[in-house]
Amino acid sequence: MREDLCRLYEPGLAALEELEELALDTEEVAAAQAHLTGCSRCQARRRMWTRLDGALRDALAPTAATPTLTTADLLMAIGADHEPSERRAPMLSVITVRDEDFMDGDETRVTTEVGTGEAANETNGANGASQTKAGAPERHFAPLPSLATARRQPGWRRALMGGAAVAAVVALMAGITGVMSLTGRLSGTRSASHAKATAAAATQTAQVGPFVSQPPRVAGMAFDSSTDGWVVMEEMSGNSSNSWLYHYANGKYTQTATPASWGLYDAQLWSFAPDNLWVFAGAGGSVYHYDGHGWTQQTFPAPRDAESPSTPSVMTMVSPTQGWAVGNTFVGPVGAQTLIQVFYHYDGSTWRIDPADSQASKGAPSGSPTPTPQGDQAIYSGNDQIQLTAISATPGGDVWATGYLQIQDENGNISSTTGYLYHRANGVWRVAQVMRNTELDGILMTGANSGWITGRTITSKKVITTVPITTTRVTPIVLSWDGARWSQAAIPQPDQTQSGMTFTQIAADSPSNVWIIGSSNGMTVNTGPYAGDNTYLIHFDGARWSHVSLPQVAAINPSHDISITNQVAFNNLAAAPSGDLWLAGGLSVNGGGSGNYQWYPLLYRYSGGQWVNVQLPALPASGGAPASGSQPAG
Amino acid sequence: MRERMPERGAGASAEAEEGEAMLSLAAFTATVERLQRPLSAFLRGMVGDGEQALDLTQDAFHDAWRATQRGDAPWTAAGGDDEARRRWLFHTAYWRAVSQLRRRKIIHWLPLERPWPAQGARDGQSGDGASEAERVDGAAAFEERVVEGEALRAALAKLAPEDAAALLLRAVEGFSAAEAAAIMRISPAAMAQRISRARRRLRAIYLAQNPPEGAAGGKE
Repeated sequence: MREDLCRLYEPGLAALEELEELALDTEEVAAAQAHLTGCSRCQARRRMWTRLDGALRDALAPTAATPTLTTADLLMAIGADHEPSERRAPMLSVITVRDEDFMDGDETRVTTEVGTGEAANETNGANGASQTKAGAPERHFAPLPSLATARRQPGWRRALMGGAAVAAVVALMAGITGVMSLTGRLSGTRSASHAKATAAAATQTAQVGPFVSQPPRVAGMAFDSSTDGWVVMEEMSGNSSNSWLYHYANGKYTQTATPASWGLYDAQLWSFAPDNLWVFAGAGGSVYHYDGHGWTQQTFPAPRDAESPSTPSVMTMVSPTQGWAVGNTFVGPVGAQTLIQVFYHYDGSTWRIDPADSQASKGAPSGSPTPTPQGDQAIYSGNDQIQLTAISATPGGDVWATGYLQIQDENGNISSTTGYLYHRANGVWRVAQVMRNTELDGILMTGANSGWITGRTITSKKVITTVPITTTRVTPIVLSWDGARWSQAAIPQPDQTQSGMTFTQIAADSPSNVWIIGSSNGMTVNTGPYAGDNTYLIHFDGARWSHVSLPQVAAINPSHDISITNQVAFNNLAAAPSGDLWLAGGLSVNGGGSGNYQWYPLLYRYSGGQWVNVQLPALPASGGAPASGSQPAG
Repeated sequence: MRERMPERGAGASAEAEEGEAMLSLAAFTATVERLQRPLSAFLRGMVGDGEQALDLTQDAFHDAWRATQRGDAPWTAAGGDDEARRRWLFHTAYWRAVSQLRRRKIIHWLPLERPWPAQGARDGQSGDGASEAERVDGAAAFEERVVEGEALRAALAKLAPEDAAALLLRAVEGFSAAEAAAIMRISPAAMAQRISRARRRLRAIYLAQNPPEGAAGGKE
């Protein structure tokens, strides 16, 4: 009998202090306390839990070998303008990068030279490629075709840069086209572009936190024509000031001053004229409008009883006077809050809350744990919350949004994924469709009777061996809208190198000129001219989807050194009303005997069936070398 | 409804962006110095790898730096105190770790139906229904061997990251249960449940991985 009681109280005993502190289950706790007083076995058990906590503290105590991170190192590592407290002697370190997700469990050993910025300058100077100011942080690329430049980065984390940079490239190859942090998906949207009167929309949400060692890249772009557009260049090794907006006109770039609070991980741009640009900074949900003279940050009203104003997690602009957005926030009294989706409409002057029915408003499924309010920061999309991934609208006001919900079991494993398709009909947002075992991550409406959704179906099978193993099959899907229903579209199969491919973006300038890009987990090792084997690009001509050949990028390996590998990946699309497609990505060159890693951002225009390499802007001198993004087509 | 934005021109320095409310570099530095070790210890416990933990630690501070640059609470001179920043950092670190673990698919599980050594299941029960005798057998050995940090860390790595985080925040980092719940954005009840589950599973996994000698024939 007493043993039964011991067993009954055991779960509570393992958290008795917590239950008391939180004033939970007070009657049961009182009963457990009473039992405890007379039960030496449970007293011993309780002491054991206390000792376990102590053992944990001991087990995790920092050791003498734990490196110390100084602010100087930190700021140096992230590119902020701060002198290190001391210069460190060059050293050699070996970094092991494990990335099961990308490399099938392979380990990559990367040897990286670490030294001072001064040393880097000397090296650059020696090969005649230096444009780096003395003392300025080195960028993660070098002008073509230098291969000899050793990567030298000061600071603690810089020692990890080589490995992290490889991981970044591998992540890029894997289609993590948002910020390539190793932190996974949180919220927001991917880069996308929208040009005047076109409908180019973002797809999959992989916006995540900053990734320290990310090289310069195109973080967002929009083009009005083959000669006019906007490009956001971003260097994630820097702090929030390390992104730059350029206006592109007739082959020339003009840097445009940006708001002080401008801090992008990824940007969506809608350009309606050189003096009418909308920017959605996916990371923080900030929306800015540029009128040719200055910027206004858009504000979004808070719903009644909201803890804080909602910031959009997805948005789209259909015209300069019509836009749509969705965010979420918590409403209700503290202790009984619920998460709701908030839909917004921009009418040309103001963002207003758009009506939604109760199902569409629901941001989390019934039975989700009540969130604990925490006023000091935004709440990430997380477990048991419906994550909005994309929104798209026709000029006629037909608006759709995609999202999905992942439910986790008690062990934290994802037990189900459900796609959500929202539609605004008769002025009210509703859930139009719920799809089991599906993630929807991108949508682009190209007309009242045409539109596209990208996503994937996920099927899991449990295999019982000595331990249960769950195998998961992920199949990319494209859905097509015919004005009445969504149905699965026939798309060209990804080839072997594109296995595990996920879609990253959709762009279109008309219903019969639609593009979808995806990237795969595969890893290409190549020394000849090649075309980004890991990138999947398909085109819809109004009748069918077909593969599009990617631009041939000349490998940088003049000495045919087999230790050097070149990798190309593209991840950013923009369609201009002229019918041109713009494609951004990069070439990375790894190896060469000293753990070198160099990165060249790339921009191409596809016009009349031909790829044309377009020079990217030279980044400001604040960080040093210019962005030499040009790559001769092979 | 719209605010006119101050602008930052080309090549503007970080100083130019600093407003009155911006957290000073000295204050940021003090936070880095004070919290990096607890933060990396927490992350090491969660991800089970020191190097990854260091990466994530730096990422969390990078987030904090960005928040400082943006003037987000609690990373301002006026708003937020040290404790609020500590909670903020642990929350950020927690989400980063959880996300990374999920995406990298490196979460491994023992079959939870049988967390106890098979030889101990004399009465045919298993899991939480294991006999009291085997539990206490395990308990004695557990108490002796739990000091083996490496084995304990290995067991910790097999906990669900959410459970591990709950336990670490509470037991190692010394947050109150309410603070830990706020950091993890879960209800107090869920927090208590996770801590209880984490402690019991940790013990079970530890014993499964390090079977006490003579477990089957042990005495109370």
